[in-house]
Amino acid sequence: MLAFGSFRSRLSFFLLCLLTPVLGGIFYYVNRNNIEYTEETINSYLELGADVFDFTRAQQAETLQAITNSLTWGFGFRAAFASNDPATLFGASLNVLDRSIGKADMLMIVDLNDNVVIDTSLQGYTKLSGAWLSLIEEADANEEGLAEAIVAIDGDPFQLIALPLYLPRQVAWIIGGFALDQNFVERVKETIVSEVSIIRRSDGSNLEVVASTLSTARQQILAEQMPINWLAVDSLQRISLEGEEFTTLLRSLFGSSSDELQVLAIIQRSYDENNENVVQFRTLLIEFYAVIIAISLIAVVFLSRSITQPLAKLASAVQKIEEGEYGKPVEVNSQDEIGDLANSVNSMARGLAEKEKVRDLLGKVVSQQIAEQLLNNPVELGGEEKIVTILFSDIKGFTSFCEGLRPQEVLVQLNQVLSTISNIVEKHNGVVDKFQGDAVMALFGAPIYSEFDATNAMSAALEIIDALEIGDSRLRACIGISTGLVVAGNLGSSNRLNYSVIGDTVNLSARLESLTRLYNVTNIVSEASRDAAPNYFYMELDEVCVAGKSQAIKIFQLVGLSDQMSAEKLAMSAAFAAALKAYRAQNWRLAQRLFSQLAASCDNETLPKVFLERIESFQITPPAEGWDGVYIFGKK
Amino acid sequence: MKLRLNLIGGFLFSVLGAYGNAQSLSVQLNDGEGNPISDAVIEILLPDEIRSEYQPGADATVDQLDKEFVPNISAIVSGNSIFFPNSDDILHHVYSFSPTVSFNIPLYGKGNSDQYSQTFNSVGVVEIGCNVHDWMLAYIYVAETSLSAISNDIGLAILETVPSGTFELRIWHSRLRDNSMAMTHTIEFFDGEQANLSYTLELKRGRRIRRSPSSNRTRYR
Repeated sequence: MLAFGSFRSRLSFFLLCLLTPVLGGIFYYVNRNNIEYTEETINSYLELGADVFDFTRAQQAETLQAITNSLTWGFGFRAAFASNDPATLFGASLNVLDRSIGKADMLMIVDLNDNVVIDTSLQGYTKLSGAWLSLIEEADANEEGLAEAIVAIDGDPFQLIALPLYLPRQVAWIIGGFALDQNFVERVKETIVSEVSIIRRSDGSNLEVVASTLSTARQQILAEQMPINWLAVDSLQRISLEGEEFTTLLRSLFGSSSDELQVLAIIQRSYDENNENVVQFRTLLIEFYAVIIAISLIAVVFLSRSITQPLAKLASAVQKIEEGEYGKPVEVNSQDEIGDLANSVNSMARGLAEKEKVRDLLGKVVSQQIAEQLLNNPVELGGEEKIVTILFSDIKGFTSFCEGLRPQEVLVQLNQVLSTISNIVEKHNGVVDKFQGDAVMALFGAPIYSEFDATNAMSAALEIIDALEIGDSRLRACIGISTGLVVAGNLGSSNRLNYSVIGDTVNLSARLESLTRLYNVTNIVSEASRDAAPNYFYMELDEVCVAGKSQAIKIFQLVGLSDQMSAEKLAMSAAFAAALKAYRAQNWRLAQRLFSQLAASCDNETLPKVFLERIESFQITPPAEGWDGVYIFGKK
Repeated sequence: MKLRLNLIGGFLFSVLGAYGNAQSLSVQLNDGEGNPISDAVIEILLPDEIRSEYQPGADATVDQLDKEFVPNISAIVSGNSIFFPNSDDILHHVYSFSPTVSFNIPLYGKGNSDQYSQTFNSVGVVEIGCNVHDWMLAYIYVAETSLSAISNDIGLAILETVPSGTFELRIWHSRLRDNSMAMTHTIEFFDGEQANLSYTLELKRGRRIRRSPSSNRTRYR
């Protein structure tokens, strides 16, 4: 299959494929017929010319006969003949020739015994022989006493006629003749409008042009060429003379091939001259074809432009759409299929623009991953069970931070903080599920699960905490992290839904976050989360039963990466663990002492005080039998 | 005429007596295919001593009628004349370039045409033509004596009074292959015997100038 770089070249190629054989075919047949017609015309002209030549010759012979008859039968000539005086008769004969106005060139008088009485051509014959005698014998055998022949006189062919001289009975033969000379061929040429030459060959090979309407140079060529082209008489052939083609017809003038003199008339018509019209017509045809092809190609250019230009526009538009530019609609002012296509592209662009807008908006309203999830999967209610780590973050001190600020400024500040948190979450492959006031709920493991979900959540938590500490000192992050089975999916109604997760883990995260205030820590991590992210160092805070939950869980504070722990922190953690142990063993005094020491030494005195308050309370009202150290929170 | 010839013959015979009584001669002339030949002339060539008995003859007339000579063959005795009257309404120009006599009577018409005559003194055949009408041709056989006759339509030529003896018989015809006067036969005539001879002549194909068709128009006769 041919490959075309452009629609235009393809169209041009097919047009040429279509036009060329059609035009070529027409050209071939028209040209062939023209040439045939020309040849037929020339041939028929030549044959006609040859007939006219014969006719002219016969006519002239008849004229010769008539003149000779009339003149020699005059009483004066009769008397001259009867005078039997050769000189008188010679003079009378010359007089006859004068009166013939050139129709007769020679006169001969022969008696009935073939003796030459008078010969104006002075050949010196006394008695006839050869062709001359044959002529007389032929005349004698003729009822009218007439005969004609072509005989050479001094090498030049003469048309002769013989007729009787009556006085009143036949007393002699009169032979009249005219030369087949230049005058003759020129006279014939005037009639037949063809070149006429008379050639003779006396002994079979030597050719001589006797008279010709051709130029001397061409006569020479003709004489050289004729032995080669000596075809049958009356057949047509083509002979080239100085580059010009002549259709040539030979017409024999000699009586029989045994005659010693063979004279032929050559009638020629310029093929090139006759062919001129054909050549002109052919040129015209070629020019006409060139114009047709040119017009067609121009038409193709315009046609293809009418297609390719809008196509190019469409292509660049589609390319821009590919690059994300939906703004400019394609402008194609046609009502055809291309117009339809342009309209389709425009609607597609609008659709894509809307979709992009939606995607963009979605990405802002929901997290990028959720947006992808929503866009790439069929949006339907329901979900799947997944192990997800949920990070709940709140900003402690935001309310007091907002005091005295206008709502607009509050919003700016809040957005700034939330953006920071959101960015950190996304940086650690988390997904912001929702914002609730100054709180952020982030998912790690939904919609896309990863084995590092919990680890990511931990590092995100540490970064959020750090980020807020670096910022305004009045603000502190409070983070609750828990890991567990949730249902992730689209929640809500069929026409308004929301990708989210539901389950105890979600509630637990929220509870843990709210507990941070109680313990005055930056974060609280559930036991499951701690187990899922073992690379971090945690300090156990307590074992509690959160509101609405019957099962007790251990809660931990995320301190940092295990391998980056300072000795101070480790010591503090160990002291806290020892205090917690005494507390759980209901060794109130030891526990009171250890927590008091911690309250005095560590940064967070609130934490030991929580336990010191509980111990005072337990000292007044001891816990129930079999208390295992779990603290039950009664309210949310 | 016949009567006159007989009378003359009788007279001559009685004077000379050397030759016997006159008898008649009939000569039948046919061509090779048996067709009779007319317009041939037979002549008995007499020896000098009796020739004068058969001389002179009579003058004759060759009329010109409807652009033809009538008759187109005549036999006369040398020394006699032929009158060439013109019976046509147009002029004729009678001429001859024959070796024995050359004459011409330039254009003349009907009136007084009887005066145009020509005397033929030499023996031989004279061809007479008309210079106006090429086809007009008449032969005048100028004989030595009156012993000549022209064959008729059935090829028969008759001489009533031929003396007995041995003479030469000459036969002439315009289309004889040998047109000289030499065609002779020696014949012996006996007293009182009718001589019946027949000869076969070989004639050439005759070529004559065709009379032009327009000349048949009657208006100018």
